[in-house]
Amino acid sequence: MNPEDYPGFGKRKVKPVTRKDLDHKFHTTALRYFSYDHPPSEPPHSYRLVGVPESLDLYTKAYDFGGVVWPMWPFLFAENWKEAIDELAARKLYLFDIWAYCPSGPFDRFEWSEYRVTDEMHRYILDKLGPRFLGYDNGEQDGRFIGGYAKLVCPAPATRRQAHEAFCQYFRQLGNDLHNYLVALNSLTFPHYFAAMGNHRLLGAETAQGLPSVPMWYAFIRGAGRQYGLLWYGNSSVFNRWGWKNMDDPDGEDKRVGGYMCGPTAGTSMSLLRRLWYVLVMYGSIMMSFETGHLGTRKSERIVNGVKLEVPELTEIGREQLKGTKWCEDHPDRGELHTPVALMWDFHCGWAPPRHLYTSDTYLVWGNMPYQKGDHQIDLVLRELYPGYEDASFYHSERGFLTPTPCGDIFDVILSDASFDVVRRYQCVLLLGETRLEGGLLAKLSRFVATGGHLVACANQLSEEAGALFGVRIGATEEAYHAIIPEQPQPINEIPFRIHRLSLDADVAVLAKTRQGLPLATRKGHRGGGSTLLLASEFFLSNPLIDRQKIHSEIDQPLPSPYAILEHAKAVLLPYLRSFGLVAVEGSPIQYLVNVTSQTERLVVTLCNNGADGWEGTLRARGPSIRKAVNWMTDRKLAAGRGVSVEVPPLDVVVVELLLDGPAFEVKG
Amino acid sequence: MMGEARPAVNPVHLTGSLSDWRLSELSSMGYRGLELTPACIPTADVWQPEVAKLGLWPVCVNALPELRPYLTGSLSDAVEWRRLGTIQRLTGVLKWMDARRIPFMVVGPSRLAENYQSKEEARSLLVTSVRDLASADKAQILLESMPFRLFGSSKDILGIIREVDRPNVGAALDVGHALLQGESPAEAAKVLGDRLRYVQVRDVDLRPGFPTLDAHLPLGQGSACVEDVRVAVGNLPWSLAVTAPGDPLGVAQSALRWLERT
Repeated sequence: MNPEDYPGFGKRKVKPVTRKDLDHKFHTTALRYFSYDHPPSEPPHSYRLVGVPESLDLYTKAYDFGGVVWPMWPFLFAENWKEAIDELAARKLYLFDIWAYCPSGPFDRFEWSEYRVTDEMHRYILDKLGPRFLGYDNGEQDGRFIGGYAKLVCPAPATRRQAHEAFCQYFRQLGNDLHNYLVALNSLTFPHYFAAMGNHRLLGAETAQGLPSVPMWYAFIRGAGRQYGLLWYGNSSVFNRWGWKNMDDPDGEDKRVGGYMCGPTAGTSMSLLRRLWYVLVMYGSIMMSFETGHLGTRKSERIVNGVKLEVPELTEIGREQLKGTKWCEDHPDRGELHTPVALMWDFHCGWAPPRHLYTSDTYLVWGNMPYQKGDHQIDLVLRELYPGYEDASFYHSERGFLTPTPCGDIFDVILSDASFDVVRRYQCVLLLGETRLEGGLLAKLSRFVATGGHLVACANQLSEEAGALFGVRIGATEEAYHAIIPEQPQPINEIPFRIHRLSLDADVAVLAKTRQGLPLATRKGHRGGGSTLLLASEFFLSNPLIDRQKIHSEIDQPLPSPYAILEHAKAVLLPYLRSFGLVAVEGSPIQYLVNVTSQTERLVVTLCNNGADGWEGTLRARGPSIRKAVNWMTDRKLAAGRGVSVEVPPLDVVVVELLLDGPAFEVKG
Repeated sequence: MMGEARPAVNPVHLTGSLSDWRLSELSSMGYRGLELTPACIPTADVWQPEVAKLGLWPVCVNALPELRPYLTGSLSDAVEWRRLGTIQRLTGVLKWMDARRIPFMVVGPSRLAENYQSKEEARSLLVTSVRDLASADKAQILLESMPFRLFGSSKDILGIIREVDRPNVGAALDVGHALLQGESPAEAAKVLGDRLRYVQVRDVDLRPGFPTLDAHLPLGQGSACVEDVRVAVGNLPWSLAVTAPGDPLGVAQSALRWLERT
């Protein structure tokens, strides 16, 4: 994915960061603060930066944490702020995501504050750093809006368009304060809306912490990036809901500090940080970091610029980041994540996970509108694709931050405004949510199918004219309570559900039906190799089965859904989705992702074992045999053949390079 | 005179539109007054002739849509330029109202600014802001409790009105806001006593297990009790403060029927 390839790139006022801007390199960052001669918050608030060269030496020379610095904003208001910019420019370092803008936080606290970048500052930074200035931080603000502002909108929005407008109002303020030159550090599932605003240069997220499940979340971030032409980065927090990791004294006890636990076993576990690193790298992040805590307070000697200096020692966090960085340097041709299936829904949907850090309410879109049935469908489909995703940050065990991927990590989320050129990159589009297939969307997806694409939808999403694309006419609704799948002899008992009666064209195959012969799932082949798959049931969900009054979100407890995905829909849909993957993984459920490179007979498979038991299984490419396999964690060969046996230690990750005896995929023109 | 404007309706909320208000139908149903929002002012030349022709009386400007902290503004914003900007904007609205003899402007408290603002600081700024607004104009500033913000109870609101201590500062009561705060509208009206000048009528969903939202639901579709609402309204001017862009006229008609229920 190259931002320059997107239509209108040349005309964009705020250009996305390109790979060329990044010198076609993978980057890392660790430096988060500069030092001052006295605290900026102390009157008269005039202060000077001190020790900038030394800080930069420490993070880029004493330890090679990469060429990107990620500082907090008060340095911009130091008397000698230009010196910092000059120093960055002289060293050809990148300035990334100047952070800690906080709506309504008083400026003179110089902390989480609202500040306005002056024209002079912005111009000077751009003049000196040019493309090496990546942008100001829109940091965790989607969550902040949902948690702190959405419910203040009075009256609460009656339509999703109104809700979207309130969301945009918030981010217009933020954008204007920060010269509309932004980096998104998402905390919820709204990257598309940031990207659509045209003032963001990079997308990313703070993972772990109290934040959403990463496989699900990066399906959004990648999808937004690919839809709007923005690159993305990864970052993992050392915090969780209950405290933060401090590895300063790895043998010390955790301590309670201001209501939070702090210490070597508090916060995000090292194993999760490690797994997140490799998963986010393999997702295609152009830059990586752990949030903080790379250096401790103990000192040791190192040679910097030919001089022996006493510098802080690395912590386990710092060591792990440097190890991950080295691994990336040693394995530069990691390819691009293969995501053949797009999950698509209406632009104004505003979907967010059913529970998250920013509210004790459950099942809201835009933070101020209750889920409709289609929103539950999105949730329940994601629960199938990323089992336990809805538990992320709610379990002390870290359950849900990373999940198994029964169909593979093969999905991106795109919205209905995606151009045809974006849609055609995918092999399959699964239409979800309260999305009406009509008008421009119908025309776009009809063209997609006519050019070989595969489309899945539900009857209740179809306009009258959309029926023809699926070879059906939509009739009245009725209730059903079972399903028959032709290959299976016994009917499947279902929780009662509502279906649309379908009249089928002659060339439509029935994949599931009722005992009375009512079609429940149909498939129509199209010239050009495309197909349309239709589920007759309403969002392929049951009727409500749990009273909302009985649903509560609690720590270390699952969150029930008021609906269930119908069993016949799972039986039809999940193997179908899985078939788009390039690799079959045999073994107990595990998270797996496949990267492709320009060589069609080469795949890179990441296996992330998020369980406390070791994993053993077999990888098979769909089609060709494997002539060579290398475990990139050890750089040792694995026995190749029809399949490759792999072991992944508990709570660990293994990346395997597969060289096949034939092409695994075709490259679209 | 005030009685001639009763009942009123907020057509912006009802229809979700700044132009297509269906005023003649609303007038035919019996609505006599209009509650507007500041967003209506730039298009006044468009709607004023029809309003005059139908004999409708703009009775109130509901400034709450202008009081979304950070998004639009707040009367106790810790960021001073934004608080002053909000006052300036609302002062302009008040002048516009005075020119048209619109008697009421509804305002509300804010939430705490995100960092470092104490409740006392927020209260002090709120009182200062309301005094500023009340200083120069004839319209009455009506303070209303808001859910999810500070000073949510009617008692809190009454305390602030007393502290502001200006003759043209009173209270408005939004039935939904009272319910979201856990007060019955009748109780809230009783607490506010003779400071209460204006009531906004709508419904809100308080079912256990469902999210508490400031949704302006059609009457009868939520948890409001008709007798309770009637007691709260009493003889005061009131407006229908419902959002129903899908069926504005049906909802406006059924609201009148609902309130007539015995």
